[in-house]
Amino acid sequence: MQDSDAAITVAVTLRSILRKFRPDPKDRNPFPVRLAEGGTVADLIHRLGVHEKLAKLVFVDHVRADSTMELRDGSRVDIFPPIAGG
Amino acid sequence: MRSLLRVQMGSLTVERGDLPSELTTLGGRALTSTLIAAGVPPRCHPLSASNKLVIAPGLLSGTVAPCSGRLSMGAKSPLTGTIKESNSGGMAAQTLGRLGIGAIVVEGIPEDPKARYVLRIDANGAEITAAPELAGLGNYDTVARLREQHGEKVACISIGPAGEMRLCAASVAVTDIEGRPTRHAGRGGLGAVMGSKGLKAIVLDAAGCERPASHDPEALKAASKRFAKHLGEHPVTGQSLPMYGTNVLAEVINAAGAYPTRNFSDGTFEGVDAISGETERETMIARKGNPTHPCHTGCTIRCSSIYVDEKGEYISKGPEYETVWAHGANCGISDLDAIARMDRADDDIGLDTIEMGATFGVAMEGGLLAFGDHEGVLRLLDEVRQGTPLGRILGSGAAVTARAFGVSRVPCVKGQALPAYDPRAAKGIGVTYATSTMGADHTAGYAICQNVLGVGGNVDPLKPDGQVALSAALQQATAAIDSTGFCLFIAFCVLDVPDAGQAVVDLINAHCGTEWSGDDYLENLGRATLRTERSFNQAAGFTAADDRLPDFFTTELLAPHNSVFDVPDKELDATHAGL
Repeated sequence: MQDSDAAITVAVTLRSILRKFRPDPKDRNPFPVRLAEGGTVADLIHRLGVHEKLAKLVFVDHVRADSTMELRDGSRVDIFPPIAGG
Repeated sequence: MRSLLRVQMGSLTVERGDLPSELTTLGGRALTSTLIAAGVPPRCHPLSASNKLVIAPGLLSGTVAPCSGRLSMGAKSPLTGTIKESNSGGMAAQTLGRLGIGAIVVEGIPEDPKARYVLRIDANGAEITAAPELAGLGNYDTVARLREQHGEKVACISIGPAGEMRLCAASVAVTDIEGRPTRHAGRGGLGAVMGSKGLKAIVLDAAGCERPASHDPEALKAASKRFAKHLGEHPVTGQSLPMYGTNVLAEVINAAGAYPTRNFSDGTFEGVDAISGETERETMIARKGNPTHPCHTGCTIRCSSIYVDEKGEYISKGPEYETVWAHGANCGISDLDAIARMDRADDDIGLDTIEMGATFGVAMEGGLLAFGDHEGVLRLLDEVRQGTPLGRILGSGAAVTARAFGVSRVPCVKGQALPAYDPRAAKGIGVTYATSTMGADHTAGYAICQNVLGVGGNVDPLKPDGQVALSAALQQATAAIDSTGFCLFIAFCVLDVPDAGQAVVDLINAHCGTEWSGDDYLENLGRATLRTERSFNQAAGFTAADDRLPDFFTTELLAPHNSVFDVPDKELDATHAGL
C-alpha cells in the first residue's frame, strides 16, 4: 500500500467475506492505507482491489459514506459487504 | 379446515373444533392477537385465570414454503401490560401445521398452583397429564425426559424454572432440529403466563400426518421454488446470514456508533472484535462446532449455529446477535465462551436473553456487580434458577431491577428492555421502540435496514426526518410477515427484490385459495392486526404518553455522534395515523 504521492493515511478494516482483501486475512486489526490528498472512498476501494458492489457499507469515523466522500488524514474506515441480521 | 384447540387448565380438559370461518385466512400473530383481543379482558392481571396463552403456527407453516416455520405465542404480557406476540423458530410450528392445528388457546388456571402438567397433541387427539416429576427442571432436562417418554421425533414447547416462578423475563422454549430447547419466544414474559397455568410443556407428535392440504398445490410448489431462488441469490439471505449468522451485525452496528455499551452509556464497544460474528464463526470452525445450521426443517437461510467448548463439547446454540450484545457489550463483557454459557443458562432457566442482558447492565450500573464481571453474571443467573429473593428481582427484568437498585438510566419502553441498537444513533428504530404495540421491540419495525444496512433504501440514522414514516410502514409489513410463519429475515430479500414480495402473496393465495393483492395482504394481516393490538392496548389503559422513549435518550448525548433522540412527540403520535 505504498504511494509516492501519498498525503494522507487512513486506518481500514475489512469485515466478513471481505477478509481476503486484507494484507493478512487472519489479522482483523485496522491496517493503514496511504492515499493522495483528496482521495475518496471510491479511490480507497479501488486501491484495495474490492469490487465496488461488494463494498456495500462504508463507515468513515462511524458515519455512513458514499463513494464520493473525500477522506481525511487519520480517519477510520470500516468496509462491509451486504450484511444484515439481528 | 384447521382446528382450534381450547385447553382448559381449570377442568383439565381439551376441546377441539374447527377454526371459525372468519379466522381461516389468519395465522401466527394475526391469529394470536385476534383471539386475545376477543377473549381476554384488557385490564385483567396477566397471571390471572382471565388471561389466555395463544399459540399459533403461521399461515404457511407445515407447507413446502421455505423458511415458514415461525411459531407465534400471544397473551397479555406480564412484563408490559400490553398485548404481546413473541415468535420463535424451532420445530413446533411445522409440527402443528402437519397436525392441522391453527391455534391452541390455553385458558384458566389449575386448582393447585403447584401442580405441573404436560399437554400432548398427536394425530389421535390431545390430552393433559400431571407431571410432578418435571417441577423445577430446566428446559434441557425437561425436554430430555419428554423425548425419552414420547420419542425423539416429537417437538416440545416448554418453560424452565423462571416460567414456573412466573417471573416477567421468562421465555417459552421450542426445540430445534436436534431436539434441544434452544429457540425461544423470548420477549414479554410469556413463560410466566404459561407457568401461571401450570403448563410445564406441550409435546407435539405429527407421526402419520401429512403436510397441510393446499388449495393449489402446483401453484404453491412453483411459488416456493421461485421464492427459494430469490432467497438463495440475495447476498444477505444467501450468503452473509448462512456464513456468519445474526452476529455478523456486531461490527457494523459498532461501526455505525449505535452499539449500546455498558447500559447504554456509549455507542461503541472497545471489545467488539472478540465477540464479533467473524470471531464466533472462526471459533466454531476451529473447535468443530457448526456455524451454518437451520433451526427448523425447511429453512434455507440457516443462520443458526452450534457452539462448542475447547474440547468440542456442546455449550449452546451459537449465541445470536442480540444475546451477544446483551450479555456482552451492554455488560462490558468480551468473553465469547462466557457469553455462550450465559446463553445456555438463559435457555435452560427459560429467560429472555435481551431482557436479562439489559437487567445485568442496569444491575452493574447500580453497583450489584462490576461491568465486565462475567463470573458474577453466571453466579447471579444461578440465583434466578434457585429463586432466591435477589434472583427473583433479576428475573423480573430491567425495569424492576432498576427500581430495586436505584438506577435512573432505565432502557425500557412499557417495561420491556431495549434491544441492541441505540435509538440516538438509529432514530428510526427509536420510533419503533416507542410506538410498537409490544414495548421496545426491534423486530416490530426493523428500521436498522434503512438506517444502517442500506437494505430497502436509505434513511439518515442521525436525523429525525423520515423516521416516523419509515417505522410505520415497517410495523405494518412486519405484522403481516409475523402472521405468515415466514422468518422475518426473508424481509432482507423482499425489501430489495420486488418479485420476492410477490412470491409471498402468491404462496398465500396458492395455499389458502385467496385472491389477495399485495395491498390486501398488508391490510388483512398487517394493518388489521395492528389496529386490533392498538385497540386492546388502549382498552388496557395505554395512551400516547406511553409511546415515548425514556427521557435520558432525549437528554444524554451518545458518543461518538454526540446525538440525542429528537423525533418530536407530535410526529411519534402520528405514527399509526395511516391505520
